[in-house]
Amino acid sequence: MDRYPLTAFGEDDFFTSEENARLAIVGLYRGEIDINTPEYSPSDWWGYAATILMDGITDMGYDRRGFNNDIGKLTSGGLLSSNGNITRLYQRPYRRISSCNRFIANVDKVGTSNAVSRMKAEARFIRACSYFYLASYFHDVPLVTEPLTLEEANNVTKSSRIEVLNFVIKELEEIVELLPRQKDLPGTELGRATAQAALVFLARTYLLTKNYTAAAAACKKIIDWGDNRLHSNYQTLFYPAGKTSSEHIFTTQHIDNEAGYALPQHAFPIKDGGWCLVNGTSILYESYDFLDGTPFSYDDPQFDPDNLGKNRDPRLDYTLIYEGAVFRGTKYICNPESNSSDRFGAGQVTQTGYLLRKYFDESWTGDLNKYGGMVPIARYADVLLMYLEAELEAGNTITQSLLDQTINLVRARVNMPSITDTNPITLRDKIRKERMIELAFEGHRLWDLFRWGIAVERLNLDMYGAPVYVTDQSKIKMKNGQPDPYKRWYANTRAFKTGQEVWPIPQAEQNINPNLR
Amino acid sequence: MINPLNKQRIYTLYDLLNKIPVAMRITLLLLCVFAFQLYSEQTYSQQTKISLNMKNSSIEKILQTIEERSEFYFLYNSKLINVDRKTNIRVKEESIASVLNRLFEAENVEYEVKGTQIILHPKEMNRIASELIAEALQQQKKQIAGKITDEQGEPVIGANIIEKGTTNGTVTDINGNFSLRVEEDAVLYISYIGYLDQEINAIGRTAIDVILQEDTRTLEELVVVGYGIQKKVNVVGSIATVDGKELDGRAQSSVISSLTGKMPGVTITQAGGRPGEQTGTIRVRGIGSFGATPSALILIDGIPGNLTDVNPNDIASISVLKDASSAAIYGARAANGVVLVTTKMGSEGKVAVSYNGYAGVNKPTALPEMVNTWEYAEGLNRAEGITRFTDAEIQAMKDGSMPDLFGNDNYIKEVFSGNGFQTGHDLSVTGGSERSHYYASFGYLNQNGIVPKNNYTRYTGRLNLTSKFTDKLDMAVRLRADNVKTEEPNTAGSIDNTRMMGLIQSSLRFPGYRPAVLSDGSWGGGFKNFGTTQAWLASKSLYERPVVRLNSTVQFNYRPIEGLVISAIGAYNFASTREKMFKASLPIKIDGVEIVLGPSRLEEQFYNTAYKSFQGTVNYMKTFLEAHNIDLLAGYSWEDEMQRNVEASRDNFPSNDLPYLTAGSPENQQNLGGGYDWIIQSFFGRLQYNYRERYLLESTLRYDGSSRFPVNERFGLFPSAAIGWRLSEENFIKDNGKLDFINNLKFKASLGVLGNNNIGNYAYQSVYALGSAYNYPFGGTMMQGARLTTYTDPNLKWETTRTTDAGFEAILWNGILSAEISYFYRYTYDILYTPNASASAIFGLNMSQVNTGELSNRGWEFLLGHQHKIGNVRYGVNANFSYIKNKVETLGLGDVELANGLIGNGSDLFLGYPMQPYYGYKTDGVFMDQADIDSWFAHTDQSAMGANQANTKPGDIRYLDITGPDGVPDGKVDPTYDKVYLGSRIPKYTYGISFNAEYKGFDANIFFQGVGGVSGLLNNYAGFAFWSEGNIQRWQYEGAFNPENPTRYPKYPRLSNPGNAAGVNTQLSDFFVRNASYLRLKNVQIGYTIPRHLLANTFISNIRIYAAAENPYTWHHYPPGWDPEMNSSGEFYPFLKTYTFGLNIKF
Repeated sequence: MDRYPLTAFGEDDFFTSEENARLAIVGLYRGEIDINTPEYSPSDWWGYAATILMDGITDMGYDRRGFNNDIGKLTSGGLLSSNGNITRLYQRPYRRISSCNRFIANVDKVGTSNAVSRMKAEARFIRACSYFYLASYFHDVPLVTEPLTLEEANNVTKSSRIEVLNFVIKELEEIVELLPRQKDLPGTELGRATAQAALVFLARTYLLTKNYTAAAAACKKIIDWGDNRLHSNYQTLFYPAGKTSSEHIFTTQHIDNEAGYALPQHAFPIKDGGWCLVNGTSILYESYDFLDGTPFSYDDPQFDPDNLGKNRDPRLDYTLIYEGAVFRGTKYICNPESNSSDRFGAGQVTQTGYLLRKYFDESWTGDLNKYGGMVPIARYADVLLMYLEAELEAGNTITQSLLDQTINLVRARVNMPSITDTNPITLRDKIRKERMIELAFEGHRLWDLFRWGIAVERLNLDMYGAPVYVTDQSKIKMKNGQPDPYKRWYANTRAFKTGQEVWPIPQAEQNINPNLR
Repeated sequence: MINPLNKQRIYTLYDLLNKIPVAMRITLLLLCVFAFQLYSEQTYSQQTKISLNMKNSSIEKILQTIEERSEFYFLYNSKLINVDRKTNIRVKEESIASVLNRLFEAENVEYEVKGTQIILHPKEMNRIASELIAEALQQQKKQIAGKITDEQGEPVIGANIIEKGTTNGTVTDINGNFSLRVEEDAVLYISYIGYLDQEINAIGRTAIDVILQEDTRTLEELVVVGYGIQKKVNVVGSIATVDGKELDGRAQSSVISSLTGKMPGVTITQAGGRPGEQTGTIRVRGIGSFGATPSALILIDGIPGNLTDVNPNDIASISVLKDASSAAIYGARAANGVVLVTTKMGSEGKVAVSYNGYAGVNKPTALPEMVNTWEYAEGLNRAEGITRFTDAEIQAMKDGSMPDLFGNDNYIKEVFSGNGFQTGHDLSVTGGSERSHYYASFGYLNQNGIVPKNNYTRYTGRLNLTSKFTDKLDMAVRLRADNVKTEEPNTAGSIDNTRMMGLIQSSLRFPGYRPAVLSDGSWGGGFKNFGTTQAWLASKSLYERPVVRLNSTVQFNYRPIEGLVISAIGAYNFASTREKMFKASLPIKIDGVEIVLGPSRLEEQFYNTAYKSFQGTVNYMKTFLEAHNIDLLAGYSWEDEMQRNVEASRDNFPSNDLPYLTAGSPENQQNLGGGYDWIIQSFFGRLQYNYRERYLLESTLRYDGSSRFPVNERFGLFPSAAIGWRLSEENFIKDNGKLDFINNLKFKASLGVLGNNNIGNYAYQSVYALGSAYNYPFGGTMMQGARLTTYTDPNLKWETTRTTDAGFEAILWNGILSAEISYFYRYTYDILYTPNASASAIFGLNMSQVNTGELSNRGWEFLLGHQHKIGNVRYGVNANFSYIKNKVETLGLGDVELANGLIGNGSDLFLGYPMQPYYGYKTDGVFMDQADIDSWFAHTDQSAMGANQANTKPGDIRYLDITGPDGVPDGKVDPTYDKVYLGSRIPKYTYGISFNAEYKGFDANIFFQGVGGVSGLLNNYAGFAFWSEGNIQRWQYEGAFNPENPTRYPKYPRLSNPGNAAGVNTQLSDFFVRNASYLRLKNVQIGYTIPRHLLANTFISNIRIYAAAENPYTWHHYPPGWDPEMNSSGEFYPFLKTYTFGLNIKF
């Protein structure tokens, strides 16, 4: 009378061959990342909702779903322990960790080989990264490194943030030695962890522990190896074809149709069938300098109200579209006095007038839910900027040569003038601004704001959109009915409170395990 | 009710005599004995010659042989005539008289020949009869003759006609004819088992034709029980029944719908009127589990099946076994009730052909009314406090002055513009010889939805055949073939909503101000540039699901000795399903540029399901000492089901006209396949005993094993016992003349344990699963992955329900009043619950079912009936009422203590409350003005609801602060402390009441049905104005809080644009959780049967025409446009009201 599932292996018969271990490692990389379907809520820390969309709840972006949505609530003052987004962003990494622990505990059964030890290191990498995210946002969390029974799992206690981060550091330090370097990674294995990927997360972890010297050293190691190079074109780096660039150190892999993601569906304007979810703010727009390196101002003659990107850091046009910009062959029009379907209005239209262009190869046509782009998790430009920042925060002297090997490389790619400021105080702001611009909508901003301790200041800035020129002023959304001097559309203002940089352990988990309260 | 006696041979009727109460037995006996041969036509008997050569054969056998070789037909009482006597007979070409003389020459038997009918009786009886005749002849008598038929026009054979107040009487012959000499002023008393008695005044008449009305509530009523048939009065379990006649000759597409409200304790809920999908859920005595699916086991002629598949006209009866004693024979799957559907079998007699045809139209019971687009625009401006639409644009919506930009499309009207036409035709043929009977039927149903391109067709064919090989061995074969096809429209282009339900949701959601059709005739982009309802409906997009089913069972019954039946049943069912979904690409024009939305995509799925079963039973029935009746049953059953499926898809079709896989782009092809298997093996036994039908006892045992459980826990034992006491059979009642109005009075009680295995097929097996959810690309190539995702319990076992039942039944004044009252208490434990909410994410795995959790359902059921006849009007009233209290007792492992003190899973199960709760906030109307807001926030901060004090406006909902960390209100409303139980979707009360009446060929039936103590919710697109860029309904527009004329409790809060996340006015709260009680006029039917004499010279025996209305009116508390059975957030298919005309013809 026994009947067995037709498309599954029995657990007891699974770790019997290297082939099966390979199946499991693929499963670990996949985690619960959504494929070919919109991520209405984050599926995983490496899915686009927890990365690209996450910048929409920072000063530089505005998630069209607003502050009633669980993602909007994270930074708008309404963060509760019952928030669905933090619940997922807590539970999903632990599910991955559990899978990794099971893999690490069992994979030796298939024998020992280089392939097996590499896979084991990859499982440890994925686990370490999961803890990195947990400690980044939830701070003190349970540290579990072995498979647990239900009883044990329901009664764990929290470890301090530093304990967790030290575990991550210890793991990553070891893993670096076990993973292949990027130059040795065959093209067919693109997407698997490398020594460089481990080093990036190591550097990030050291930044959190404020061990800047170690962070700098980790970055320096990547730079010194020389496997990575900045891609010549900032825009195409994020196209599907840009995945193979050595600038990308670690990405979430997608391929058209088979394993696509739905960022086009979420971000495209209505004219292209999208939902206008990813909006830039005036804060981001105004951060892009003029081409000559001078800071932006609406009063500067270089500013052209008819072409908002004129004379600006080219990354503005690579990142955003706005009134009149050509996107996928047609002009994007959002003026409320136009008859465009994209005009400012109720529902799923832009809330700022700035929509996302980054990531989109405009010649691509296909199912908006199945785009074969990528989510950049770690790239070389980030390493260069982290290196500079770590050197600065470590108190080391900043030389022009250091600037030229780091931030100026990043700027030179887009023909922006070099930075020559070596004063740590003023340079710090420039580095932070450069990070925001260079890494816009890659999901680093909230992490940066939290670790820099400037979240309260930055997140509560009034968020405006683009200037909107109309004859009937009642069509403009204004703050408290007050016209804006630059005619900017008013989006919203958050009420982020001190303390909300640390996310609460989800209520559901507190209910199960009072140790976590 | 089953009435196998109808149209059966009279000696088989006599064989049943020992099951009939003594009083009735005597009547029957007398009537048969006093049969007179008067004025009969003797020609046939004199001319017919018979040859026989039989050795050592029973008299019965010889008589049967004569019947087979001639048209003669014997009537006798096997109690009085010894037909078991063996004898030899050898005659050649002799008359029947001669043959009978030989057979009975030494016996005390006389015979009378009336045409082809021969009555045998003991000599002394005849002597009495002869004396009576002599006596009668001395008086003035007249001859009266007539024919007795049933309501279908079939002759009633062997009906008793007696002159009232005398012993003078006769029985009808094979054609239903009788003749009798009676007093001039005689009153004839006509009776036949299973029919209502009739008295007919014979003054001034010499010819009387009588139509006997079937008795729906006699003491002889039989019900189908597990593996058998039982007299209803002797049933000690709780069984609800529906007679096939209630389903016969009606305009109905679905059995489920016609069962709603008919049976106490049986709650049927449907999700709407979607053609072909009216499966509904049948819940017997509450909802029995929050783990395994609490579905009733549905058996069609003993084989698991599905009610939508069955042609209602084929159904002879439906029994719902509600308590443990009746259901325990089906042990492991019976915990949530068993629905036994029995199909019609043929019967002996001439070929009878019946046709039922009807045509009608479906209309929604309610349709949401959307406002005009200019009202939408004005409302949105008001809601947002900003000019989203200018006056000129609003004007353009009204007058069409900007035809490509602003219009007034009403998508709801478009999507529900289907004609709803429905027609059905059923033809059945029954008949048979003495040795074989057949019932063959063909049914056709075509139901157009109220959505264009939505269509459901069903062809059903059935052949039920019985054949008697020898006296001891017979066979029953049932063959059924169905072809069912569902067709639905689909969305087109790039919209993420698919299938008909997605199309409907989009039509409800989006405002229609962007014209669907532009002035140059091309499709407009609609609200969001993915087209409009009209464009999708006109596209080549489609969904279809054809299903072919072949069902067969063969049963052999062997009766080696009297009372013993050994049966073997083999069944094989096969179903092949194909599902096809095509989404066409859609050309639209945006700003004068045509673009094609897509890509087109085709998904096809095939699956085959094969079910095999063998069942063997041994049944022994015996009466000892004329008092002890024993019925023993033992059986074995083996069932095996297998499904295999293949699924494939492609996209980017070069043409929308070629929606077949090969025509799609080769670039992105996908496929998958797999299936499942399960097995159940069971042993069962039952003992039924009664003492003079007065004290009743029944006990059942079933031992079931399922492949869904691990070896050690595979088998479960399910016992039950029941007792009954028929007070009415006690002598102190029977002998008391004052109490002779009591026909039946019974008390009963039962106790038993039942199981449930409605979980996945492999719930105990821990696996690394393969599939697209685990794959991931490396280097641009998809790699195969595997993952262990789910924790399984290696010691999984059956979910168990302990059921106790006590009841009382009465039939008084021959059915003028009948009543049944039952109390039940079902306690389910070891619930196969998935305690995910109590498994920390640290554990990392989803939970599979584990045996934990307990649940109770208790309640009362009442059934009242009244049948009466006043003058020519025969009428009846039947009412049923049930009260059910569902209560979650514990989640066991799943119990989590929440901060607000409730224990449960935090979302939909809370200890002490019913299942399917609404868990949300309590409110107290809306804010009247700013002062109200300020004073409220002074003690209750409700900013966690979505708006802080500064953002809150008059007309926003006021939420109540229930409690806080210290157990008292903490000055703020938040999800952790202030959510409460707001009601449940499970109705506490269900009731139905039906009236039927007949008058001279007219018949009428009115049926009301309702539920009470139930909550419902319309939210999101269905309930909130402007939800997620949605439209606004008329009742919201007009009922919204008006600051000019503020009221505390408006129908809708102030108009605001809530986006797509719960904000201050869109939280789950008692503001929106509604009283979903309703009273529905479920069915009205009026029929007229054309008088028989008008058909006298035709081959047609009966014509009835009828008109019916289903769901014509409902009284409820829902907002306009919504049916109270609807709980929707946007996807819905309206409930339908149906008006039909039909015709029944019998040949």
